[in-house]
Amino acid sequence: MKAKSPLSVRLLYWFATIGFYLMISIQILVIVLFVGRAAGVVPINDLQLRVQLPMKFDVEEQGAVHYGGNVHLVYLEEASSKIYFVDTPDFVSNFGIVSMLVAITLFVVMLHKFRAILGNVRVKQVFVHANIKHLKTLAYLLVAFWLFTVGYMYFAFYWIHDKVGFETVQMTNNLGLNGYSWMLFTALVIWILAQIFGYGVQLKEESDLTI
Amino acid sequence: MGIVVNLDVVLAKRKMSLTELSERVGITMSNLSILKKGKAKAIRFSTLESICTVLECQPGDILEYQDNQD
Repeated sequence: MKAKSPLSVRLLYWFATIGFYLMISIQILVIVLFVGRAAGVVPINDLQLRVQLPMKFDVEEQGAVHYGGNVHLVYLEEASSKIYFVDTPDFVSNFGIVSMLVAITLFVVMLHKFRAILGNVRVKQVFVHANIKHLKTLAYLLVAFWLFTVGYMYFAFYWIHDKVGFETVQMTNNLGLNGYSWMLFTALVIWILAQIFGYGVQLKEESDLTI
Repeated sequence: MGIVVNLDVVLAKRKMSLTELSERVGITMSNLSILKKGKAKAIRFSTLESICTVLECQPGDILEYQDNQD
């Protein structure tokens, strides 16, 4: 009797499959929305698109920290926030939809690769050339996702910085991109994993062809 | 050419089939086929010993080195 793969692998595979088809559905919805807007089917005035653009603001707020029976005064100097457009300008709507489409597409392909690796592991095909290819593609896609995120953030940041003004708070020049460096680190780890898998495939082939 | 496997020659001399060798040595037919076709990357001493015992031959009868320039 053929041994079953571990439950964790099977669960991960099914979660990845559900996530994959869910993301494809969202992708189709976004495309329909984009085409609908372009065709004038979706009224622009009714579309209150929420474009999340994380920004840091200079604020002056005093607070208190209660610790060890003492009260310590603190000042809030900087805070992150998100912009919510009520009557979204056309340009922002299109920019938001296209960005969402690119991000979802990249994510769908990454999920597809992840699912393919899990599918191979599920049928005990671990050290095979296909997995190396999938892992490498996953690493490159993650780098592409990082590049896209950084580009999107830069563009959105300077656009908002230039065009949007608030009465009581001041926007800082701190874009805060360090928070996204985990993508590059993860891509590097996956790429190294692909190299290790390459060595594993070589060893397995030698083992299989040793009589 | 490198290392050439002359298993088929020795088998023919002993008038033994690959199936019989497989049964007597205890190696699967697919593994013996890999060895016979010269696709094997390595051969264990224990496997070589078993084959030589069954075929009553020397390792040199089965394996031969041929220069690449030949």
